[in-house]
Amino acid sequence: MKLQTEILIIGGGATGAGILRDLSLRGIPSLLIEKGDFLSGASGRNHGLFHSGGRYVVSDPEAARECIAENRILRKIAPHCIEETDGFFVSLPEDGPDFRDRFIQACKDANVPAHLLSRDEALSLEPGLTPTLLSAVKVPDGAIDPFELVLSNAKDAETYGGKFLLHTGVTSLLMEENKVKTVLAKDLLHGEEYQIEASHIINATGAWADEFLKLAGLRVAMALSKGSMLITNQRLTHRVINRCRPPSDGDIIVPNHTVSILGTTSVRLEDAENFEVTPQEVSRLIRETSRMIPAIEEARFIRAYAGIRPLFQSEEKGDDRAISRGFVLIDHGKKDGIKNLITITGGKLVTYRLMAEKTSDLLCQKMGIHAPCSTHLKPLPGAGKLSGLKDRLKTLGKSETLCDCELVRKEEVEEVLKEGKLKNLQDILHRTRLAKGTCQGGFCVYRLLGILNESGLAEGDSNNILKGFLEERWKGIRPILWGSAVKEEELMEGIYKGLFNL
Amino acid sequence: MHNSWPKTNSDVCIRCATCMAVCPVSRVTPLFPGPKHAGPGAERFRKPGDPSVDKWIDLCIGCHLCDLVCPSGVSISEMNLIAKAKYLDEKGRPFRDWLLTHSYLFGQLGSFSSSVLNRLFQNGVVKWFVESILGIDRRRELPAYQSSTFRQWFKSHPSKGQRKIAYFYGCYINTNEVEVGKATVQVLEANGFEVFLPPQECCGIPMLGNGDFNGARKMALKNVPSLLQAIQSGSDIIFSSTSCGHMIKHEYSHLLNIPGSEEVAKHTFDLFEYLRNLLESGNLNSRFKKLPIKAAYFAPCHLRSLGIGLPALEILRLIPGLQIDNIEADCCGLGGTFGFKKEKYEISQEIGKDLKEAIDRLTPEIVLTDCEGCRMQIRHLTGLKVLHPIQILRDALLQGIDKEVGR
Ligand SMILES: Cc1cc2nc3c(=O)[nH]c(=O)nc-3n(C[C@H](O)[C@H](O)[C@H](O)COP(=O)(O)OP(=O)(O)OC[C@H]3O[C@@H](n4cnc5c(N)ncnc54)[C@H](O)[C@@H]3O)c2cc1C
Ligand code: SF4
Ligand code: SF4
Repeated sequence: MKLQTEILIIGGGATGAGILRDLSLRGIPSLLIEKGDFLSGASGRNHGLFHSGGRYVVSDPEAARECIAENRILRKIAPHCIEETDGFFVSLPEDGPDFRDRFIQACKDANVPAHLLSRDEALSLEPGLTPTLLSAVKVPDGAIDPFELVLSNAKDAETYGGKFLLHTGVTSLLMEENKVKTVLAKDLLHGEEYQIEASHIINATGAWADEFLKLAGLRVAMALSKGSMLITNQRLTHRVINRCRPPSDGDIIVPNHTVSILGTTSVRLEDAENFEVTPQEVSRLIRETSRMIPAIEEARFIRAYAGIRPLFQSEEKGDDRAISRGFVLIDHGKKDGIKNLITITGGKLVTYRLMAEKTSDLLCQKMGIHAPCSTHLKPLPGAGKLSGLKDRLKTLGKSETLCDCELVRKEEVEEVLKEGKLKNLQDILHRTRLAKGTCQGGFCVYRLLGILNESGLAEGDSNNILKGFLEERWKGIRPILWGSAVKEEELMEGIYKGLFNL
Repeated sequence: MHNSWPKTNSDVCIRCATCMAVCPVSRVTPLFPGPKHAGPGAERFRKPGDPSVDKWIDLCIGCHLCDLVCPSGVSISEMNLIAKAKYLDEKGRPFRDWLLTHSYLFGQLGSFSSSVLNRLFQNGVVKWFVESILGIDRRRELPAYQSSTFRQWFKSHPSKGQRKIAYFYGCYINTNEVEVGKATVQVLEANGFEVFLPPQECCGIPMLGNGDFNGARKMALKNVPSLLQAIQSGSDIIFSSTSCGHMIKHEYSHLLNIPGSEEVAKHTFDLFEYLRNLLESGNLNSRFKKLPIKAAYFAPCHLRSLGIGLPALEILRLIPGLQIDNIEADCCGLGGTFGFKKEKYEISQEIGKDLKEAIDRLTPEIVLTDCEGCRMQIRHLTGLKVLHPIQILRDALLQGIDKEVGR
């Protein structure tokens, strides 16, 4: 099928969705294509830390400034995606006060509000902290729900005329002298092929940026780094807990809905497709984070997962003055003579909006049109949604719940299904908290399949869908299989092998 | 580390829903989401600073049946109780709850007040007042106070024997079922014990059941030192009320962290558990006379939760002529003061229905059970004569004792 658009965005992560919204608000016709669902890349596999900038104040003050500025904006435009928890930078005896003092000064310089708390003050607010801590510095960190964020962006973009095709990957680029003429893409579920013509193409493929550029015969000097994270069964703290030392492995604990996420690691990778969490990473994360929260040693984990971040060689960064060091924006017209191609990658979830703004500004400049950005002013839709834990608990018993662990109601899922466009189970799981709790979908996904079957929405054989889901689920559980998790899995095995004969 | 992370933690819940099959409350009302959801499930959604939104938590009757079946050892009822305490602390407790949980104070007024109170409680106007102003259901008979308390009887009763044993009798025996106390003393004496009554207050379970941790702790802090003293003087402690016993043996240490309570728990025994120990060591006086009665026995939730089997049933089966059946039902539904509350009366009755039907099928002449709450509820449900098993044991053991058995 032939398609035509003004702008074609490749990649449905926070960056791509942010650009789609930004351009749509500016009235520029745009189409986004994504090889999986929204959030299939790093946007759906990160730590969920709503940075205050604290993490970067010492090592990269410019990135810190960006974070705190965006932090302030997102609180206003995306309150339903953010839990304003605050964060602590905790100093342990072995960290000493030197780094802390530098940290506080750097916060001042970067305009990140910071408050020094005594040991007792910190402990009274977060009793789970180790009693041996020296002090804690309070900063406006928080927790961000990337799913809500990206989907709200996509939804608003759609309202303003933005279009997207999911499960559709770019397979090759047809080049013509100094530009990309046609983009060939394929629906990866049903095989439909597209030839897409666009006046400009934006490469927002994150860690796949280099792989994508290869299709145009270009390269960007980047390496891949895997970061692994562990999810506990319950929230261990109600604030973000960072270690007050130069960033390293296992120094963040982020509360996220009902759980806490511990992270992270940094391991060089060759390829962005096949990776898993290793036992060494699991031990390291637990060892390091439990120094701050001792109960982690005894805590139950429900899942391990990893995401990939792109790392850039220094010349790639900052070779254009407009580019912040936090992210990389490349005009391939200037750099390589391909005049209708832009790459935007790197950065943070928290800076997605800024990245979208800068990309769209560059595009407008190239197109010679004057259309100012408004994403810093216009709130995202959905601000009235259920978000707090207590709001969810309130619904218990009010109507049929599908997911007992996360209290997802049947109505809520039906609502998502009504919106349509969902192609597989994972799409539904991205749009609700179903299967994100203690049993990791063991008890609710087969119920969900029942609904899908009833409504004729299940594509393909339910048994196969279930098998696929269980394999995915198993990947997340295998690395944390001890204690209560083993018991849980035995029960699951009984249910799926014994009762369902899978 | 293990100590700071007790097993009340919902982390060990594997979501199997075994507990859902036994909860008497969720069995009868959709208003209560059941142990899995109310306990470890909801726990994941509770944040220290958030106001309580789990209004239904007040419906948990505290029977501990869920705890008993959980394969992972989650202390579900305890979790519920803590959440309930928080909910009630925020919402405020009606004066009615204070009245119900402090009935021991009436006992302290002494026998003088009993006739006045009893007559008052029968009065139509008072019943109206009790229901509409206080919120105590008018269909409930309020327990009748006896003209002389157990303590008064005991004072004039010279107890003698070779070994001393301390008796924790509980408020209800003191003021409302004096006969149970007498029977306990008489049976122990017939086994060669000299009974004494260590200074004691209400065990605190009515307050705890209503989520009033401070009130309960106050009671516990008075009882524990006195019981410790009895233990240090070389005697064991027995209780005839399984609710008081469960409170002393479990909640004092587990929930309330009362210093010395572990030691107390080690030396405190259910009356029939104690008698069964005597039986096992060949020291039980079992010269029973024949009692040709058809009886049915109900094991109270708190007894089951003590994890000691059904010692009363074992001992009663030694009595010749006594035909005794075990009643197969989960919970009587009274739940301490729960069933007195107007808004919970229907639930309480609905839970009790199974028990009533089970009793009807057995057609007993009398029903026996170790807990005063269960006795009240079974009387209310069936109109039958309901006694503590010790009263029957006493009758079988001692001839010619006054037969003003129970009510
Ligand atoms: C371990 C880890 C922890 C992190 N923690 C945080 C944090 O706590 N806070 C924070 O703010 N940021 C965090 N980040 C950074 C943040 O996740 C990323 O910066 C952000 O998600 C990047 O979004 P993106 O849209 O640029 O890339 P992605 O989300 O990776 O999106 C790229 C998309 O492009 C698609 N794609 C690739 N190739 C093709 C193709 N050929 N055709 C079609 N589609 C294609 C992919 O499927 C993918 O969905 C973390 C990152 C990692 C890896
Ligand atoms: S204690 Fe009893 S009423 Fe409460 S949840 Fe458990 S089984 Fe149900
Ligand atoms: S029985 Fe125990 S493990 Fe199973 S759902 Fe209930 S609390 Fe959880």
